Amino acid sequence: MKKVFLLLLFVISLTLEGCFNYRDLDKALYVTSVIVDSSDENTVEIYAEAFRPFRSSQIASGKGERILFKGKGKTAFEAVRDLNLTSSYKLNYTQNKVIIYTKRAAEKGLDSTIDFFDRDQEFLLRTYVVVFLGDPEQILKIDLKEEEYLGVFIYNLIENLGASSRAVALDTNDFLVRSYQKVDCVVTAIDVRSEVSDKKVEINGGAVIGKFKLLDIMTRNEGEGYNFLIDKIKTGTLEISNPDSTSKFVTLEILNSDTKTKFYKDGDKYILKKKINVKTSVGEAQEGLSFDKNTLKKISNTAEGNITKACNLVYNNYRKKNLDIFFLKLIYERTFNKPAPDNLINDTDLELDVKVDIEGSSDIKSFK
Amino acid sequence: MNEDYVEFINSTLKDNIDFKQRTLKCSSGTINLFFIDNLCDSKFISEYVIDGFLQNYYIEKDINYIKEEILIGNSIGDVKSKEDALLHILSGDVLIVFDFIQEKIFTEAKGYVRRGVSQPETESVLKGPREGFTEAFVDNISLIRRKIKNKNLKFESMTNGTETNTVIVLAYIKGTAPKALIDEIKNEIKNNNLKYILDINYLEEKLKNKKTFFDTVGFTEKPDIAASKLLEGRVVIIVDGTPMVITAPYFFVENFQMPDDYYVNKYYANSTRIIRMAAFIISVIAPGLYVSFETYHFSLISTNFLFRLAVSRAGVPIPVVAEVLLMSFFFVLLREAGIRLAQPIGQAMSIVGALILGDAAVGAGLASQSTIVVVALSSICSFLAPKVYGGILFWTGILIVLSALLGLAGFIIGVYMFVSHLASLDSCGYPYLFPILDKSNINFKDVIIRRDLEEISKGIFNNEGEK
Repeated sequence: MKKVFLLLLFVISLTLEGCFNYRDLDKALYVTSVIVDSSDENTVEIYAEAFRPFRSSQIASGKGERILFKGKGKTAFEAVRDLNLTSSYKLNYTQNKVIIYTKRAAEKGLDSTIDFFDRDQEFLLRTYVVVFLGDPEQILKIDLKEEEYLGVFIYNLIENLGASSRAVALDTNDFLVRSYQKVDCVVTAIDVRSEVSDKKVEINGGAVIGKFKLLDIMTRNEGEGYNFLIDKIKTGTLEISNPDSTSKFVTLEILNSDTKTKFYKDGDKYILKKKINVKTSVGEAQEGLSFDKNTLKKISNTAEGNITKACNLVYNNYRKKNLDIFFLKLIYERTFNKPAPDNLINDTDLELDVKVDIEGSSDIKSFK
Repeated sequence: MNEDYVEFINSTLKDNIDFKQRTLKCSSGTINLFFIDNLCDSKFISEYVIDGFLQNYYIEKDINYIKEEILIGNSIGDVKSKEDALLHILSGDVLIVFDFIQEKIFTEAKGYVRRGVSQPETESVLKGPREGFTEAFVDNISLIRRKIKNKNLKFESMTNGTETNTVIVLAYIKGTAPKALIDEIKNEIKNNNLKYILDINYLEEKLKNKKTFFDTVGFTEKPDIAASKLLEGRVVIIVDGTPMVITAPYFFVENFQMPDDYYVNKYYANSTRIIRMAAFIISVIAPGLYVSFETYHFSLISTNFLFRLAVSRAGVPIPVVAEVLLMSFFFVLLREAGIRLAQPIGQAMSIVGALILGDAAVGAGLASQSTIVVVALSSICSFLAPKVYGGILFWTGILIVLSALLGLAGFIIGVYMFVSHLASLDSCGYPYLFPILDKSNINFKDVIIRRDLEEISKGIFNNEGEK
């Protein structure tokens, strides 16, 4: 009886086929990036860049092939199903690295399509959300030298953010959490840059999204101040004028940065206090530098001043636009345990305490 | 007097070419000697039995006189019945029947061809004793006895197999081995209805758990291993005619212990032991995990690697699960062929076969390189734990099928089943998966890491031997 029962359970389990039923690895097309656009008729247009495993029968060698798909529909799901009409194998989204919204689609609102990427089982929440500021056809046709697949390239580009303190990044999970908490957020903005010989995709500041709509574009310069304020700096550089030669620069390499936040009420105003501690080392000094205490003090003072200026600039800019991209709403609710008032950012002043610590130049270990 | 014995033996053994009867005359009457030519030492019979009677024509009608004055052999005894008389003849003794004395006696004159003590083939060592058991149980007893000079070391003999009357020797150290264990094994041996016993496996099957690919009693062909098991408090069973002995109880972790673990540097021994355990795990789970990743969970593979895997599989006409099962089957074929062929040819065939078959399968588009790598890895790893090869083969197959049916969920169900199966086994009443289950009455410390010899060279039963 026990055996029959077990056998029955086993047979029933075979019928429990969900979205993830058996499929051989090579019998699928792997999407690496999805571009969401919106047409003038308000239909959703989805472009997908996919990898097709391919093996030549003549030389018995294998390689992949890049295929582009375009689908249209009233909803994202319909558009994705429309994509499948032109593909021999099912498109698989588990390797999707990035969801690219065109500026046009982002302005119309992400809320009409983002739910599909959240709800569909194949899309992963670690996928980055970016806004492309140009024409979608332009980015799809771009011939990248470094990487064949646009999605993989943008993913690597964002993962390499540590090298720059000016770029911002947000994955689908964080984007959705903040959006559902009704907090404005900043996602990566990308653009195509024409260089001498070819065109390149670059990170070009951030796109401010509020209530699922593109509200503003954050410039690259604002990016650094913003990253300091939200404690997202890993590494990067600070360019300071050389105290020994005012027309020249000293570059400080950021080794580590830590921002501590305090929020309190002071009279009628709320104070957002940010204590920023930055550890740096001298990465470069144009025309040399005398490493005495006074010079280093001057450099650190200038760096502190620059950071304060950058932070104030970005804060005041978005305060003026009444865009709470600094999560004041969440900080308020956490601090006072009650719903945040409207226009909180207008009643909140920023107070900064910046400390830049300069360590000596790093030792050169390789003499080859 | 005793004519019935003479007639019985003659009629029973008359059609045997090697059966001999020698009749001698003396002052009191006739003396009949019965023996099997090929089992006895003819020189011994001539010099120490026949010569004794021929030199003493006048023999008293007293059995004690014959035992004390005529026969020079070291082992002389009385025969209790006709069956006993037959058994002695068939065991290589000389049966002596007088027509003037009622008692029948035998004298030991064993002298058959024996294989010398040689190096064991299945348990080779880098360092340590190199002698192995032989087919003669008396030699095996002496090999153990030479290592343990202890008054408590017991060798209890019994015969089993209704047709073969095979000698079975139960060895244990009194006071160290639990009495309950000894009694249980004795009962199992006594109560079996085997017609013949040609190898230890005839008894193993009686002592082992049923319906499992894992051996729940151990075996060894090295006297030093058998001695160490005895000293730990286990029971060793020697079967006449086979160079292997059974050790019981036997734990799962012992499958990964090698004879020279205790003879080489502790740290080296431990590292190789851990490698063997890792190899076992890899060989069981690798193909199942591979199938579940390749057919269900693409998101768990990094993009670049997935692209490579997909390209390597592109064009293969059969599903991943069939491909893995087919390649595993090829490797099993090769392994079997390698074992059954003569050793030099077998080795060459295994290597060449694996290389050619793998390459040809990829070239023919029958399999992908990644599958060959995974199946080959699993097969190579299984060689590191040869004692559980059957278990690996079966459970790898189960995990592959379950992974193909339900992905990682199936794989995890399979692993649960595997561990549950191991946990359900016992070795003569002791948990096979020790130390995972009850360990209250076991003091076995040589589990994963080989500790200092002083620490682990102790009895594994907590004073149970006294009970």
